[in-house]
Amino acid sequence: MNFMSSSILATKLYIPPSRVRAVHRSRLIKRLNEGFHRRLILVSAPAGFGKTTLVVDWLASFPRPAAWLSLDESDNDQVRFLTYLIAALQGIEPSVGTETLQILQSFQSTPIESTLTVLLNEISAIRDDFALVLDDYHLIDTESVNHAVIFLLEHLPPQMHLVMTTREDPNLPLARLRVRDQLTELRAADLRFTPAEAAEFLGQVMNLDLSAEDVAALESRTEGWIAGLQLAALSMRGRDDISPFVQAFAGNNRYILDYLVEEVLQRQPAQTRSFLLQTAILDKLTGALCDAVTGQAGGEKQLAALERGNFFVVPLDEKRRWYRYHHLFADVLAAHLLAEQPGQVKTLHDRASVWYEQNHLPSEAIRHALAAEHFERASGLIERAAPATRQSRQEATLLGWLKALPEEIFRNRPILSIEYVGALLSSGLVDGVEARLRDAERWLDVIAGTSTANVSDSAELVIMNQDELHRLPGWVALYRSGYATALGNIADTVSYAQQVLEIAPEDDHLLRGAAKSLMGLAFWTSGQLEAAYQSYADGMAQLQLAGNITDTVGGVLALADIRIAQGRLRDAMRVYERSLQLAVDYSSPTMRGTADMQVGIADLQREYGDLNAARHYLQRSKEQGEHTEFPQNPYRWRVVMARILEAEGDLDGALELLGEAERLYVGDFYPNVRPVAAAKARVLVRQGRLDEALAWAHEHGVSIEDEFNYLHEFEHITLARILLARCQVSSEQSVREITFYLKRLLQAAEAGERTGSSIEILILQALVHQLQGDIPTALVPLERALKLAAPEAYVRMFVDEGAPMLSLLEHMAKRGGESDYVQQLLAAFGKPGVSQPRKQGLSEPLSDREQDVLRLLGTDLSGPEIARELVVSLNTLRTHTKNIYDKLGVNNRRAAVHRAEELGLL
Amino acid sequence: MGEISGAGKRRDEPERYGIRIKGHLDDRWADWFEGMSITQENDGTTLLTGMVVDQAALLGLLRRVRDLGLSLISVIPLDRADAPEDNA
Repeated sequence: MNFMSSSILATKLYIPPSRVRAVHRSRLIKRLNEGFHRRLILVSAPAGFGKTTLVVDWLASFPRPAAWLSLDESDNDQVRFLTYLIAALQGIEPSVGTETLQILQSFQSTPIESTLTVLLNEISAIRDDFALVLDDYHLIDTESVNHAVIFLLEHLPPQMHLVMTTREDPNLPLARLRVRDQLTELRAADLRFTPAEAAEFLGQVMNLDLSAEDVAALESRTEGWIAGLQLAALSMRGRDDISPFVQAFAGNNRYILDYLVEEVLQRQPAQTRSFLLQTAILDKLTGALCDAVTGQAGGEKQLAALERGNFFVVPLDEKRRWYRYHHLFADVLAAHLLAEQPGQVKTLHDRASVWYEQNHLPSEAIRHALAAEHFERASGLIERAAPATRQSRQEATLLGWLKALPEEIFRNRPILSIEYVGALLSSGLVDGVEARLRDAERWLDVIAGTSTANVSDSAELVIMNQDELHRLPGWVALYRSGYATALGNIADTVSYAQQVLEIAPEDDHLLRGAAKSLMGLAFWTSGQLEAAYQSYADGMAQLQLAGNITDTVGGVLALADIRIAQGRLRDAMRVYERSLQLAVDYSSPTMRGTADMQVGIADLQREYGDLNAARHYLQRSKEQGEHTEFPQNPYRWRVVMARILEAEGDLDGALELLGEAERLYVGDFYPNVRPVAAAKARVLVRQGRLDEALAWAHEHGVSIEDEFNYLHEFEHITLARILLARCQVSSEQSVREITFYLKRLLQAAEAGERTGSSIEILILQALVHQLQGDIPTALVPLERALKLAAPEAYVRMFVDEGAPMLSLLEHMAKRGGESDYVQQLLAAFGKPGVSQPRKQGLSEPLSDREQDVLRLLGTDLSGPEIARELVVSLNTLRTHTKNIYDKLGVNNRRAAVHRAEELGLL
Repeated sequence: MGEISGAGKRRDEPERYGIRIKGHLDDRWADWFEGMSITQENDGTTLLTGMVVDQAALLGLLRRVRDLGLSLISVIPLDRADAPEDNA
């Protein structure tokens, strides 16, 4: 960070100085002191009511530390907002937020809740009570930032207290906070100056000698509105004829600011007046910037004089380097400027933009260039700022700038166009991608046919970022491929990725790695598993060379999934283990994605029949914390836990978890080859709820007549299971139909070398023959299944089929085929872990306190009632409850009580 | 996209609005309020009238009212078949 941008950062975190001479509003400060223990102090009133001043005065005498964040429009970028918020908190505790910042800057998208949970944990390390002030919260108008604030508020550590000043009530659950006594509110009615305060302000602060009548008239005309009183005082300074002024002011209907600002401006020297109007376009003022905008010298002195004269100028740092106008005053000045010199406004913005550019503050330079509607200039600035903005993950900001540009500006700017495509695709947007790609593609021939020097001389073509020019063809092809992926077009994904590999030099690991990965995903989606594995593994290796470790770890999930579909469980396990080792090698054993690996290993352990080990890995995944997981993990975790519950016979529990998994499903770009809805239908089959299972098939359009493709294979095998179950209860279902269906499915699976699917289909074939009473024929496919499954040590694949499979395996044992393996499977049927799955499973004993809480969870008492009963805070109760749930392996109160009863704990 | 009942206007079409605020606002605010015309009325209020392209634009105008600390009295669509004054 250069000096200028760090000094700008400091202005956002600076607590404005408390004025030595100000009305000390003890009645309000008392209310703030008394309300501090609550979660949120909300100071909500229109502009000019002295909200910020009040909070500043309160903090000046408040014995606890406070962090301050002055918000502005650019804080509507979630990453930027949180970065500043952490910077503010670091004023209290320098180490806070370091881990959170790492997550914010990483290239994988993390659900904001996970990031915030890490932040909240880090905040919990702050020992003393403290306040965090968000000044001017009304400037936040994006849902993503507000959502983050709501999450923080709902999980606020007890030592943290939030203070907000705002011109309008924020979109927070205020009613709920009120009911729970977690909210202290100060509103316009509280903030208005009382007659006594007005008198003190005019007399002692502004040094005016007024009659009681005049004071009363002013108070009544302004209705205690502080900005109005302050402007009135400024207008009266140095007047001899105060009473006539007061009478004239009180006796008319004009908007107070119109009347008073005019009065004030009229009484200023021409130079000051013009300074005020011209600098009104600036959000922040510093001497040199004001000089650049006004074209005059002496800005620094002018600002100091304005501050001394109580002119609505707020210092933004200790050294009086930066100031700002009170927003209300700035708005009135800007309106005067607009009305009096409309032609000047753009010129002033332009000058500000140039100054900011020269001082290496690109965001501000861009903002003013856009305000000047100087789009040529703005696009040049944006193109140069784009790489750094991308790298700091402020894609929302980048996208905001690009959207403000008119379409035609992109025609001659291929690099800018390609930045736009990248920003859109990384935000999951496809609208507008095609047009920008075409803008970039128009130049590919020109670039290919000319030397770089000639290209940049070309009058039409505008390139700011010369370094990127030679990579343009590669980027265009890569984004074409990514765009095709987003649209589900497999053929185009592959052919454009191929193009990247032809164009990009061997050492461009980023481009080549990304292209290989996209190809891998396309092959996977189309069921070409070995090709998918090779491409994807190669892509990951390249990305690792490009330094992108998180992506490399993340890609492992895809590689393991592919191996499992191939029926290569041992290889899948090795993939997970190698990746965990990679995380350790990078001395970051809690790296993003490690929680996902634990879940993957848990599922393999489950398949091996070791349900306790599986539960253990799920538990570890959870203990590692949300910051070590990818967005898919919450849903994957539940799917694996549901399969464990299913194996243990808790089908209702499994369905409940699958329902949650469905809601939490995140696909990213991975093909959804095992839809959760189908997994639910399988559980319904085991419960005998065939009508509901059939309804699933109907709803998802899965039919026995479909052409097969890999994407729907899991669904088709599910339908085969439903039909098989129907056969057992109804003579309407034709067995021949199922037999034929399974045969077709097997052919497709074998053609794609998807051994995992083949084993399952062979098992179903055996069960169909068994149903017809033909055991010898049933043993034929079963023997094939056993041959394929034995080297990989599948267990649950057979055991989950229950009694019919037990009987078939007993027949098989008599015949002596695959004898060792069959004996192992038969033993697995008899394992205590299967018949009485739930006797063991408490990962750690409950503490005495947790047992107390558990007993009360078994009653009808509500959360707050339990907290009262135990004389603990709700937060403490939540911690206990969470620990209990984790130890019991459940995630709600009902399940906890149920499980505790099973374990004899209640 | 459906029609608003009886109004004969489609959603997202420009509409005339009247925004009434307390106090007399100077004419110089016209540009600030996106060119709305400003009428100072005898009852001490000001009426801003003009075409508003859509709801987002309307909310933007109201935000400007907020930012000046003005007291908002009413916001009414004008020229609408279902606007109260036209029903008489």
